[in-house]
Amino acid sequence: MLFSSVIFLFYFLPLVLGLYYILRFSVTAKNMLLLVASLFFYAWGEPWFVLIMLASICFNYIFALLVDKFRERRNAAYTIITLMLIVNLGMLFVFKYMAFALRIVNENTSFGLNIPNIALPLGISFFTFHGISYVIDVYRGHGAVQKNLFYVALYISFFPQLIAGPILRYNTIADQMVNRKESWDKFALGCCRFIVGLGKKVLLSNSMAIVADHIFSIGGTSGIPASLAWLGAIAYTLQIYFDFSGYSDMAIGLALMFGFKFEENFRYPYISRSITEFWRRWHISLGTWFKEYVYFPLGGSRVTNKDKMIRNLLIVWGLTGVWHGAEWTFVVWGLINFAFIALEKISNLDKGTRFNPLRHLYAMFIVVIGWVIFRSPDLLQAGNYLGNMFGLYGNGFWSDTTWMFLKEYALFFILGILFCMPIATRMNKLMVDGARFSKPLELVYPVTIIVLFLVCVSYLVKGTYNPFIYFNF
Amino acid sequence: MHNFFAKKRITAFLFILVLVTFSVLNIIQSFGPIQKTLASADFHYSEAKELIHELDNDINEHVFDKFGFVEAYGYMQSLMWKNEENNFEVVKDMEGKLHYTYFATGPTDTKDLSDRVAALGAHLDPKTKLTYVMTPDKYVRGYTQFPEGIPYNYNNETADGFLTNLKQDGIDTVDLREGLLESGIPAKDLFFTTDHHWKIKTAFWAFGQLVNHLDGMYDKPLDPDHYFTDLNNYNVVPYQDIFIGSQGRKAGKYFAGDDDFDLIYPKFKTDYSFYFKTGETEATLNGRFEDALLTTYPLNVQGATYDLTADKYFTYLYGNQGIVHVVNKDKPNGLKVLFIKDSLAVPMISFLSTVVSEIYLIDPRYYTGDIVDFACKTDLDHVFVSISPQDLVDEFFPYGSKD
Repeated sequence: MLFSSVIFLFYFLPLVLGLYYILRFSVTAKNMLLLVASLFFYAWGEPWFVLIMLASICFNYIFALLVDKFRERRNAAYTIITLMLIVNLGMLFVFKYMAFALRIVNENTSFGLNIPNIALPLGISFFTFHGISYVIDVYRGHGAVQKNLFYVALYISFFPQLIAGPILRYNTIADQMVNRKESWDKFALGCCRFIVGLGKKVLLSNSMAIVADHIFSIGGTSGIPASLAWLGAIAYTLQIYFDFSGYSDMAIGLALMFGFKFEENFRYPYISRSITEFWRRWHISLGTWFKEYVYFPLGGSRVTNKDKMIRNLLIVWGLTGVWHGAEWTFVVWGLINFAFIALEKISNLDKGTRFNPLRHLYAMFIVVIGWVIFRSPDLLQAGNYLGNMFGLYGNGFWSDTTWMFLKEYALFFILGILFCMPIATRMNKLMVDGARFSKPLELVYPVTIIVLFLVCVSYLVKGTYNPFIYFNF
Repeated sequence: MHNFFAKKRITAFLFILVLVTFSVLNIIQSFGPIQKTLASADFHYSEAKELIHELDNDINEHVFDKFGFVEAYGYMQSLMWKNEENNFEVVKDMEGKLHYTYFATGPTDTKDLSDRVAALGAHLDPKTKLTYVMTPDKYVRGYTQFPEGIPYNYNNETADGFLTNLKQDGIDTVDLREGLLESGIPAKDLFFTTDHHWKIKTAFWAFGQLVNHLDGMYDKPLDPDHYFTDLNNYNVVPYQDIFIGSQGRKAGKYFAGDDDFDLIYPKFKTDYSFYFKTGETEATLNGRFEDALLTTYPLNVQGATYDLTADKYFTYLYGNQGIVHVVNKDKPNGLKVLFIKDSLAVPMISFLSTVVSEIYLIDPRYYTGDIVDFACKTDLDHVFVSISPQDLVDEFFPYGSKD
């Protein structure tokens, strides 16, 4: 089930909210409701794959019990952690990477292996990472082991974050599962955040997706003018940001409605002045996860020499790339990020404050090029598209199609670019500070948000283009 | 900080109000369809995905005031001066007419389809003639203009290639795109604004063109006195601002506008028998042209502007039926013809019925029998295939395939 759907908005959400607040007297009852609702939420789209998620919940529950029991016996604990990683990552490999791996084997040998057509369970990367986080945090003593399977199930399957994150580390949520407090202010914040996220997804991301999908469908395989190729790249840059951050806003908003507090996942990444800064602002929960569970255990940046730091970065960014999908494009995208982050670390470029506009241009240039590779179905098409962007195939610069897309989607491009910047945050601050124009803003705010919601509903009821871009994740 | 939460609280209150109200209204609206789906459901785990899909459909199709939202959506698109809506579902040309289109780099190869028509011809009795009637595309060459950059689907060029192939195979063709702009009908009135079909007056003109073409093929002209092809011998009943066609229904009248509809039927005396069958539904009607061949339900339906049953184009011959048999009892010795057709040809065929003895219509989408078999076993003088340029796809040619 998608947040941006009629069934979620007008059936699932009101029902779950209503029941949740009826059961307000008991934490256990509320949590049970959330678990049942979460399993239903997942099963609605993937009735079979819910069994895989349940399996993941069960074995991570057992691993955590074991690692907690044998915590003092280092070798036994390491063996359990290793086994847990093999099972979790093995499952992820089978569903997500096996076909890709077999394809590589076939391309480089004469084995001619049969490549199975395995469907990817929705959100498998997210719930696998949640499972790993749970067992490791229990081992580290960053959260109490759950004797009750039910709480592990709730942590892994809690529907706001289930299919598109943010990735919750167990230590940030363990206490909230039993000791959270709902309040009208939290609920109100959650509602507003949810509607803003819905608007980002339905209006901005989906509109940009139309532009990006059309241009990428022709730009990867044939020659298109440079302006059109750049427009497609920019449209995808906006699409992926508003899609991902919109989903995160909706998840954070929903969690607040149920009394949970999730950490922020996006902080205006497109205002960054370096790739390092970009990754401090983009998909923060994924970056933090890799930092906590991969980068720091490898030694992080506090290593004896820079070679080791580069090695650590390479591992993390290689994995980050592959996490996003089983294709060479994701590997290359990860490596590009690695190369520029390493370069910035060595040159201390990310710490400077001079030449900000130039640094901003540099960061966005790399980000956009990265997204082109990320969006392309394979490296060949990525290369072709990049060639089009830089006019390598002599297709000219301007075209009527560029003008048409700009004209038809002008409002969405303008709003998209504006809302990449912290305008809403500034306006909120103005209101909080009681600035001169804050009164009219306060009056307009509820109307604006409700109108935004109704506009989104009209788009959803109409059945407008509503792509789901997390199939690879 | 107090103000910060105050506005959020007001927003949340309004949100809950809207959410609960719409939820209740939606549940009431979709309760019946959901109940029906659940009653007929197969509750096996293996069928779960299918059931979920059906329930999703019920919920999405039965949203409270669905077309109110669609109209609001369309209004927003028009406020943004957009010429396309929802991923090029429909686009507007320079005069505001809606079109189906898609991004294409050139015409589609239809050799396989034209070969199928040729194969059909090879199966027919030698006395049965075969003619392909190419109805015009809404994108009228030499007239229609798209705004800069709006994609063109090359339907006309695809149709050109198709007709060239047919001619090479020795198949007789009538290209109704020719002479369209000289028909005497203002170019802006050839097609509906909100529907992909031609207007009824254009279909009547096409009937005249078809009769002219057939006159050279038979000993006796079909309309020697030019009586039946004279519009003056027909009643033309105009209905103002009444029609929102299939394209208009995608985005609502605030984006698309609406159309007038002319109901044309003979002033002269007629006597018909009309039979149709689609799936298990079949019926026979007898009487005058307007009693047997027309249904006025779409013209009189109230409060269901966007319902398919309100589609005015389906006034003629009850729209698209699997098979239709029209008998003109006033012309017992005339031609017996078969049309393998799409929806564009329907009103034209209605008018053709005034000059022939019997007409069979087969819609390849809904007819479940073997079309070639039917054409061979039925006593026919002429077989027409009439599939419009936009429908030159596999679905409309389920016969004569080499596979």
